[in-house]
Amino acid sequence: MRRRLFVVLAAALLLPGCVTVQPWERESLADPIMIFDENPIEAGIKEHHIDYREGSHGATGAQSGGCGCG
Amino acid sequence: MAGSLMAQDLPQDELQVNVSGYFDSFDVSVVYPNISLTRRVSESTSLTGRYLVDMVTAASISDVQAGQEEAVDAVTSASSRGGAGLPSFDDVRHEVGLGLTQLVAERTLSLNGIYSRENDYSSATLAGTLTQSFAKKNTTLQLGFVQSWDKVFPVTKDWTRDKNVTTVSASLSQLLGKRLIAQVLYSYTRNTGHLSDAYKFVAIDGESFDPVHPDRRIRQAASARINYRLGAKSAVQVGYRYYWDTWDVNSHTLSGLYQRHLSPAVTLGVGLRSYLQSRAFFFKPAYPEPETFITVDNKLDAGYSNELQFKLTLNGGKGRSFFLSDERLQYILGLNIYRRHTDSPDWYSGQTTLWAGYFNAGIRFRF
Repeated sequence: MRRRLFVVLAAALLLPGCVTVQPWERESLADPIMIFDENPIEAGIKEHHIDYREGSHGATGAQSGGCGCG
Repeated sequence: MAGSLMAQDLPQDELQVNVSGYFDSFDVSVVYPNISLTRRVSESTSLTGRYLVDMVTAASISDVQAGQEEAVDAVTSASSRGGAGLPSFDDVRHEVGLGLTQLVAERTLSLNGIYSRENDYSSATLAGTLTQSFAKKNTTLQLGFVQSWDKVFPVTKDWTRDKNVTTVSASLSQLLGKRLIAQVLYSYTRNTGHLSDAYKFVAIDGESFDPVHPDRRIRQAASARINYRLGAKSAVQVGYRYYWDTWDVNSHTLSGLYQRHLSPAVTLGVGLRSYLQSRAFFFKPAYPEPETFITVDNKLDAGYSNELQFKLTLNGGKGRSFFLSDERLQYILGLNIYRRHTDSPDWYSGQTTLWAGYFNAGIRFRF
């Protein structure tokens, strides 16, 4: 079930990808507010806080650890 | 993951200084300043160095068996620098990191080494990512690997135990139009070794026992998120993550972030995050008798949390007021307000609800 969900999600992303966005059409996408985890350090700090308090981990795009809190 | 649109680019040269703080209703306070320097050393190579200090203060626990105050934090598991017997608790963790980013043909290879040490815990980590773009950079695939070798040596025990963490991850980013980018992520983590908390204890029929967790845990998570440009000034990001592991902890996380340029110099972000978690198979509110696995770790209890996030970014530029007059400067201010509810009361505070706040104040100097 989980694998199917992931495959469906991946396919949903890839299929529209057949439409190519040309480099000169990416002005809006290049804005920092359009970049996931634009500041990796800030994202890592947030992940560090979450690791202290919740039992889940991973697939957030950020890296945390080294504190024995996870 | 930053730079997923620009996979073949090196990270920007910058000096970043942050001061972060965490405070909660269980009397835990953490302040951690950190500094990071990224510098391009050739057309295809960039180096990063980072230093972080974690300073924790919290209430100490009383050892019910010995009847003595131990300088050990019951909530965060941090321990006193000065050893047992101190009336207050104060722990410091130092972390240093060195990173290399290298362009190799059409790929970007990144390697990072991190070492952290505190009074009763040390961790050495090696992390690597390989990033490749396809289809005129419309699609970006990133593969990651992280290996940590940790050592646990509690001040109240006479043993040293290992904990190893291995993570492999993959992410796929896809441009779906001139205003829309999407990403799917997956991670697989294997934890082995000493996975319980050395300072908590489980009270059973008037006696206290050390928690015992399984020595192996496989953790997996899959997520999807999109970022949509609403207009010239704003964007909204929505994400969902599903997590599952071999301790029967499952969780759903839903998150959203709205960001808007209030002016060329000021960007405001407001975010929401909701989290719902099930209980680990061996977690019980109380144990009438000792069992194979026993715990009081409320991270393993069923519960939910909600978080409100505010983020303010100030960008320097020509013609702006004095502290924003340098276009290489960026100021970051973040504030998060967090509330967590667990089905069972916390073993130490007796509370089912935790309120927490954390902030981050940072300066980025790009050169």
